Amino acid sequence: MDALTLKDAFFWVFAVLTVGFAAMVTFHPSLVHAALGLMGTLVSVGCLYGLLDADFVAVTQVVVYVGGVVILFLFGVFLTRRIEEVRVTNRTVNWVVAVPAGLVLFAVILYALLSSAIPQAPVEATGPTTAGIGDAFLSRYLLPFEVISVVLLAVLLGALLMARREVKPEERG
Amino acid sequence: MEGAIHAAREVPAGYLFLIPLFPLVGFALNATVGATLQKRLGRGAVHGIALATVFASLAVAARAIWEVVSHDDAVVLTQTLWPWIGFQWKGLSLSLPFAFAVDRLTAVMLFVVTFVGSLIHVFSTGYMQDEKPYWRFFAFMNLFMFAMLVLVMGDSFLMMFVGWEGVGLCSYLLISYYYEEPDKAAAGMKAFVVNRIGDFAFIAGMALLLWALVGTWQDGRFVADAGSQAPTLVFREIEARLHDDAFREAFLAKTAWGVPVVTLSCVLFFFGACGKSAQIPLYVWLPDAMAGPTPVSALIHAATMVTAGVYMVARLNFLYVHSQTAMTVVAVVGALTALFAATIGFFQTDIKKVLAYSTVSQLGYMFVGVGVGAFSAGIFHLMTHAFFKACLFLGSGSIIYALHHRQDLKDMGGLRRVLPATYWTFLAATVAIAGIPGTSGFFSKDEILWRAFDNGQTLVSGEVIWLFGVVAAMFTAFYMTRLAALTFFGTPRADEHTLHHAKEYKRMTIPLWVLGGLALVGGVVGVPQALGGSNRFEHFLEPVFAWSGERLVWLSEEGGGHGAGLHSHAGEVVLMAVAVGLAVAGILAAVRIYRTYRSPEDEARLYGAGIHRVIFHKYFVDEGYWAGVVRPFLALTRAAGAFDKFVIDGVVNLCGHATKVTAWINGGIDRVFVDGTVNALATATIEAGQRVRRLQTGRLQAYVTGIIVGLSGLAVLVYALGRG
Amino acid sequence: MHVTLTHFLVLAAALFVLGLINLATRRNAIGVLLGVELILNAANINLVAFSRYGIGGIEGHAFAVMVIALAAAETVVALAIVLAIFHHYRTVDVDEVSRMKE
Repeated sequence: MDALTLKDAFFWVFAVLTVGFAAMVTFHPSLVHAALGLMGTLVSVGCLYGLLDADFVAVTQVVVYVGGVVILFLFGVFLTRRIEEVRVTNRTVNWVVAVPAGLVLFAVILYALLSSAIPQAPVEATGPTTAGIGDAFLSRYLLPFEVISVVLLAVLLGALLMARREVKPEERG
Repeated sequence: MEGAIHAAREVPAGYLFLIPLFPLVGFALNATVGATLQKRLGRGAVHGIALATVFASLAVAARAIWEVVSHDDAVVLTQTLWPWIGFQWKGLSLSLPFAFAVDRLTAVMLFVVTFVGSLIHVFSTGYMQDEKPYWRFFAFMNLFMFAMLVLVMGDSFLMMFVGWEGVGLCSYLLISYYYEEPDKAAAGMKAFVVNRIGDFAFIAGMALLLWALVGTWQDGRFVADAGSQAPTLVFREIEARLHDDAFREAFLAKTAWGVPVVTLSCVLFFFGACGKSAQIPLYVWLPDAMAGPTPVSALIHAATMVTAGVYMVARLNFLYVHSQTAMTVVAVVGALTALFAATIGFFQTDIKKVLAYSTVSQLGYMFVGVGVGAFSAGIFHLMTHAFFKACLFLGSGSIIYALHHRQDLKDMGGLRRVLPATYWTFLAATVAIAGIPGTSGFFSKDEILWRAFDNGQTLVSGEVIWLFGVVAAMFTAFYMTRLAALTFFGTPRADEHTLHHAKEYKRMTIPLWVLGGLALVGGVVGVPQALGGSNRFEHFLEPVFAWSGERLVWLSEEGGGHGAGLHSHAGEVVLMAVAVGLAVAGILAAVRIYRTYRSPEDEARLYGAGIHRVIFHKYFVDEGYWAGVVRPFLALTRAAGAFDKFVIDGVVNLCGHATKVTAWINGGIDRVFVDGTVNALATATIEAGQRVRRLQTGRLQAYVTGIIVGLSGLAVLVYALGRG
Repeated sequence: MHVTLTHFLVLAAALFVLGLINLATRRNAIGVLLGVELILNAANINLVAFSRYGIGGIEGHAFAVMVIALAAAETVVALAIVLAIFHHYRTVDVDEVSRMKE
């Protein structure tokens, strides 16, 4: 058995954190805690990206996901629940079926992974990836890139349209 | 000589398309943004566009005319814009370009249309100034100019037909300009429907000619001539082919339903011309067309559109000269119309109606001219008529405007002092139309009458046609004098207030002065040789009609005609003297009778109640058409409707009932046997559905759980099987 | 035992299954969305890990970034819908918002 390198140690730490926070997202009865769990998961995954030498993705993960999406979720939670209700559990009996089924699925995937020939050694790290990603986006993947910008614009407008509160006449002014 | 005639040199002229394009642009602008412009910038913007485009068109036309005139030989300016129509049938391929051509005949028409059209546009800015939909008027006027220019410049039958239909449309739109008034809308409809009858004949003639040029019908089937050329509808090509002796002989020998094709198609074309140019029997729409604004009457229903039929016959001179029958029909119908319409003019009380019948009558003269082979005389009269009749109509417009849109003669009288410019110009035009020596109408009318008398090819003797014409001339002088007398002389019958406020605008009087002047002196271009002139107009048009003229002489010598006439200048002068004498007599009689105002009742007493009644009601022709054509037609439609209702519907209903009975029996069988089975199945399905329904909870979680379970199961299965 | 690609893939699988279970069990619409985010992250880990271990080049990273962008977009839209539903039904319980069933 090889010595545990620092990198390996990091992996195990963050892997445990990721799964632990993910479990919290899934199983914690409070929605606020679930959302905070998601934040933890996302940060941990971000660290894993760093471990995989994916600097740009890691930063994006933290900035966009943790800084944006999770905050959005928290807002969503608070906007749609009165505070006193936030802790109210909202479990369903489905988990009796879903959890075993999920475990079976995980087992199958695990089995599949372990029985497949997967390259085990990482290639040489290529250094900062930002330039490469930029090149890819502005050359081969220009079209997807543009499509995504259009999607983002549409989302912006669509979200505004849907979430805007209808102004009732008596509320005006 | 033959060689000179053939050499109608084609000169490409790349600017021809601009002539109709400008008014089209004006129409497009006013039709789209005219209403906005009128609201934002006022009427000036609207007529600014309309006038600018019409005058631009006039300028380009002037250049084209100049180019035609400046060549000593006969040239045809041509411009082919794009290939237009092409199709193949039985190995014959027809291809027609969208092309314009301007020869000397077209040049005359171009001058009349653009020049008189521009003046009338100017007049309209005054006459129409109080109208709300001002932009609509000018948009349609511009569209009319476009269509009319396409008509006269078109290189082929089809191009001409496009313009022909276009002017018909504009005529309809402008007659019904006040479409909120039912009788005016109805007048537009009448014009349109009557014109359609003529148009149908036009199309029929065109189709007949198209195929007759390249083949024959045998036992109801079309057989192309051996070695025939491609079919064509281009005027110049048809004429060039007819110049070929062998081709002409073969063509003239062709018959359809036992009638020579050339006669049949010419008569059909003439029937089309009857519709547009208001000849018997299709003249009835023109008097009603006076429902439109007066400038419209002047432009469309006097000066330009209604002369399209005359232009067409003149354009087709190379066809008409080969059919004595057709030419006789044209001349006789023209002569009859000239006399007939002139008599109706006697007792009309509406100033515009008098002028309308006068127009019908004058158009009859033009047809006499082209019908007796005096094509250039017919066109000459077309031009002079455009001057004096436009002047008369615009003058009546000026009167009507001053009298707040009253146009009955009983409200007029004594307007001489109130409307001096109108008075003088109206008088000039009246003198011209009456044929007083020296005026434009005198030269053109007498040219026609003389040529009618002298002609040797109509089947009816020329003297008879001449007699009709000369009597009509006397009547014309009579009713025009009556009109002038009742309008301008005597004591005013309009109220003080109206007379006090009546005034003439500059933009209305300037066109009047120009047209009135031309009505007086415009004839100098066609002073006949008998009076020491050189008839420059006829010489100018000679290249167009020279070949037909030769053919005509040849035909009348061949026989069939009744022989030649006087052929001398002395004879011509004598006939002129007779005509002038009769005209003066008509004028003097009218002056004598209408020294004082005569109401319709007075006139009835004066001329005899019976005659007055018949003429006053226009020989009951409209009533006759109503009883003889319109009502039977409506009855036919109603009968067809009734047939539909009772017979066809009966059969249908019977079928329906039969079906119902059968269905009922069928239904019984269904209910007992089939339904039993079906119901059992349905019940079973519902039961099953009720049970299965519980699976469909509509809950998202349930679905996702189902997906997970299914996915897991599938994955297990795949790996289990994959290993095994 | 050195960390290999398999380790990351197993981690991603775990994340995926947890997200799936979350989807199946949460009644709150926002909770469901949290599950979706987990699944997307699982996919992203796969993409980046494969890229690091020599399968595919920089594309893995590029698409991971795209997925993040799309996930953010999806979240925004979904939350907007949730808010609209909340305005309408005064609840975000997906069990109660099942009118489409009828």
